Amino acid sequence: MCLAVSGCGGTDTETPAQEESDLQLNVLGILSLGESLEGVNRLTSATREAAEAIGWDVRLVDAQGDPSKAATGMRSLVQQGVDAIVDAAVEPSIIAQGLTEAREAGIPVVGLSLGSAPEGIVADFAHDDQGNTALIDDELARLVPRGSDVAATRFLGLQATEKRYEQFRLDAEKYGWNVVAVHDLTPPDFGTDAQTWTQSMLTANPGVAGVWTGSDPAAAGVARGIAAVRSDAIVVGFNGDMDALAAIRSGGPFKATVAAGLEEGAWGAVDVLLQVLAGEPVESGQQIGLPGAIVTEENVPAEGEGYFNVSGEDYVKKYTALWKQKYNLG
Amino acid sequence: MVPERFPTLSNLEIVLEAAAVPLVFSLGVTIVMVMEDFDLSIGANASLMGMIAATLMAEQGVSTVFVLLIVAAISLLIGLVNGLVTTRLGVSAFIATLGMSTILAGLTFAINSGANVYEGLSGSFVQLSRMSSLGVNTAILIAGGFCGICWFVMAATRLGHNMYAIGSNPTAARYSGISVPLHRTIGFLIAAFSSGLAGILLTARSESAYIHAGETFLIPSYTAAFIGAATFTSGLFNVPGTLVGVLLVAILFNGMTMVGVEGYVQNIVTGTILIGAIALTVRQGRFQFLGGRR
Repeated sequence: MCLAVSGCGGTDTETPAQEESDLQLNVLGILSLGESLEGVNRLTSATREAAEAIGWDVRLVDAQGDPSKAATGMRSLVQQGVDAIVDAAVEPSIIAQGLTEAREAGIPVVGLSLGSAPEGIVADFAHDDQGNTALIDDELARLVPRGSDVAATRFLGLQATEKRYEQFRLDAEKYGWNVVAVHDLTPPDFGTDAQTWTQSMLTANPGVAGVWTGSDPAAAGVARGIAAVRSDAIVVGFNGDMDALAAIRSGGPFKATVAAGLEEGAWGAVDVLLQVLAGEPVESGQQIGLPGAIVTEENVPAEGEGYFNVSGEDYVKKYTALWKQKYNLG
Repeated sequence: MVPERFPTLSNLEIVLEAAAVPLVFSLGVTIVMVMEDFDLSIGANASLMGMIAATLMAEQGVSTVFVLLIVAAISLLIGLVNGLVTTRLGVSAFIATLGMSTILAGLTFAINSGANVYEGLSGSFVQLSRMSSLGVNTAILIAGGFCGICWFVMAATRLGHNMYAIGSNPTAARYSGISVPLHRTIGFLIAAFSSGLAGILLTARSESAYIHAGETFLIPSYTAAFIGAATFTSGLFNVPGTLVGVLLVAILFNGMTMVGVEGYVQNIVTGTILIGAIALTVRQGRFQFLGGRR
């Protein structure tokens, strides 16, 4: 797949390469909640790809999960005079001062996976946590009969994961599952924590038929725990992370996850920023849901193919062609 | 439901398997604490070793034996730096190992830009945390063997006796001709080696390397060491006491999980046990927690 338009052929031949765009792009700032988090890393990597495809330099600030670093990092990006900022998963209230300073400096900010778009954020591309949980719960219902014992893991530290767990409780009632054990995941290593818990939990509750996790790292750990005690239970995850795809491919107890179009959302975020910078009318405070899709052994990407493409669309080609046509970028 | 399933052989194996990695961590901690030192870099060290091991196998195809040798060498180097900074530069062990922990966390991140390694681990490596031909998980055998070696060294060799002499009274030990810096450095070497070994077992168990994998074990490792010191030999850090401490924590967590105690309650219990064990140890007059050397 060719990410940069230059040298890729196709639309290149339609517009002379030497013709300059009216949009002068220097630097795109990316504020990352933490590059060690796979979901966040996916967002920032795709944002970087999109920005670099149109010749934008990227300056990334990694808050490493630290709110004070995030607040300082946001203000520092504004001070550096970047053209625009993408906030990858940093809660807007933490960077309120930086958002105000960005607005005063005329720097547009787009959010990724924030869950809300308060004043100062043009748009937020986020998971539909409840909708995607309902999708994975439907899949679990296909695998685990009504009236079965199920167990769950949850993480109550984030709005997004709390929403997922609330939806699971509703669906557990809907599908008549008997929730016999719930485990609060201990960060930072959900996998090891979930693995240890699963082994003890299944020894106490050998009749558990399925485990709901709301998190791929936890689901991968639960799957190892299930295998270790040789149980017939199955587990489902959430996010479509690489380790989840690998576990599903292996044909073990990890049966399904719900993938979200994180990369597509990141390219969409760059598109919104370009619209703002080009002076096009853009409604502020938009909430744009990322589509979700169930990944099972039947449709999991082969090893080396990367993440599951939720929409099935070649969004890289779509956006690069669009930006070439509208702004003569790329 | 639970009472009949708790005292079973299969549950015992689950407890022992869960205790294997914490035991290896705690043994290193115990040995440095015998000399009233601290090593706060154990978690970051384990994370780094796991990441190095997984990356070498997944991206370079390095064999398990070479991976183990490389990890052992690097972890010992980290221990040597900790020892030299503490004993030669006079930086407190608390600060030196905290700084080292931050450096190691940065290096772990740098290897794969923060990405996990979840595929490409060799079968023989993963076997380090799988059922052995003896019918017992290999990690249990490794942890048990390492525990036996540490027990022997601390209880039956001049090295171990010298370390206890330093912990008891470093000035008297020095006048007795014991090289305090050398023994403290050896303590840091053992702690770093045990962290590397724990990182390997952890990576084999989870079949993946995660940049924060070792961090979770810092508090439980010290908890186990303090339990051992408080309950076994009236304030002295010791290997059999640590073994009991690790098993106690593992049994407690297993039992709480089996009866469905919420995770946050388990954290509250661990923290309470740690404070209680430290209070008992200090009360017995053998250890001045963070109060410097006597």
